[in-house]
Amino acid sequence: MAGSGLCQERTGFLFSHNCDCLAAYSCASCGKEICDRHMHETESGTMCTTCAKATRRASREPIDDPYFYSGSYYRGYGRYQPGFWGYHHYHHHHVSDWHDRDDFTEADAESVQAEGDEGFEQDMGAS
Amino acid sequence: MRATTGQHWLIYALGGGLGHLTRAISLGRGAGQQRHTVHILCNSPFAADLPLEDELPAGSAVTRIDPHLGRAEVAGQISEIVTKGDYDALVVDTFPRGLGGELPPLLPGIKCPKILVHRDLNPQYVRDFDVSTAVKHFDRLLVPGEPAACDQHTHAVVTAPWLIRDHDELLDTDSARRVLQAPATGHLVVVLGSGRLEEVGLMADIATRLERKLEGRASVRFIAPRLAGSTAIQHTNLWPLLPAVRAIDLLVGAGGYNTVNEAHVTHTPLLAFAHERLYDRQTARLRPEEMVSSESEMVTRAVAQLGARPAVPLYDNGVHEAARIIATEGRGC
Repeated sequence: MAGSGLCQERTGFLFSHNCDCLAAYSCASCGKEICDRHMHETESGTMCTTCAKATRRASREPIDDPYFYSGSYYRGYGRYQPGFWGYHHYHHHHVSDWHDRDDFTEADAESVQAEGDEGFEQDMGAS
Repeated sequence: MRATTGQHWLIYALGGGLGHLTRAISLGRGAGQQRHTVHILCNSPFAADLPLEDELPAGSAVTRIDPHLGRAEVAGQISEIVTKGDYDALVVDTFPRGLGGELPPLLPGIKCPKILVHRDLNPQYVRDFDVSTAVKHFDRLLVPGEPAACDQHTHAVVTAPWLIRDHDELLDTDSARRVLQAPATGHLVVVLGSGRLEEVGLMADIATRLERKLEGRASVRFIAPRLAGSTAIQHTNLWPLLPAVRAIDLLVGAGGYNTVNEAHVTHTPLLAFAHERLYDRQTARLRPEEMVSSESEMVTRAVAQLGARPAVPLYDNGVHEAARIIATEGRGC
């Protein structure tokens, strides 16, 4: 079992961000402290989503857990050029006086990306 | 190999550059003076070129982990050594969670006393990775001469800076000049190429420019453990540099732990870049008058500042107090 810190996994559908849940386990591969949601039981032991994903990718096992989904599962989503999902909607409605206040903007992206993206504990040549 | 009389300590000194490694070697020398031995773990790309074992007491060892390995492979090697070795103390330099975050699952199972060498760290890392919790795994925090995030912790002891040579081990000026291959008289500027490999190249360029600017006024020596490509100036492969400090009128380098502390305790004039680092804050270590922001400024200020160096004062080397404290904590696992 892990200590009393927060889960150190970073996940997100649009942008990766810190998880706010309390850590309950440690990843057997990288040692990261992880919560229930980001814990995966594998043949190699308890793993975080990142390590479990890498292990499954290497072994080419089928992926059926939504936590492992990435951009490749949603190809074209979020693009608005002709031929992509949403083009018709934006082509006909996206004018200067039309704006959905719940739209996710670049400013929102910056707010969730500001912290923890420095690569701490990833660079083995850092000092 | 376990010592027959003293204790045997495992020192975790992973990290790029020379800082972690030099601090670990300094502690190893301090341990040797108290009849203890050490096993140092490092992954610095410079380690392969340096005669590290020659600095350490007999019975000590250095494990040079391949600097190209990723965090998972490094974690595997660390786990193997840390959990299966027979040590009287585990000393972890700078990173209480390990450089790749691999230590938290290992530390609770390690029965010997655990000591953290608590150098300054990026506050964002301290906050985001809950370093204060990781610090609780350690029986003692040794703060090597500069402010650090948890230096007020009840288990923290602040020592003088850790240095690779004591005052009485420094060469006299003439001997130092010979070691540096410098003329017997005249001012001497030493440009230090360390840090990342590309920074070694930058410092080589500065040394070349200074040599041209100072022709007839001073000698310039470029000291580097390894060069990033060929440069116009010849380099001297001298490590450690500290023994030769009495010959140096001006030191040109960067704001890493060893360069700055060696300059400060020996009163050696210093001009330095504060390089960006993931964890280390070189701007916090350098004095404002030492900090330089560009190559051209470095050359201009070095030329203007050149003069005779002050005498080296008596100084205290914190490794001796640190070794005494670790030995007090240490016991059979």
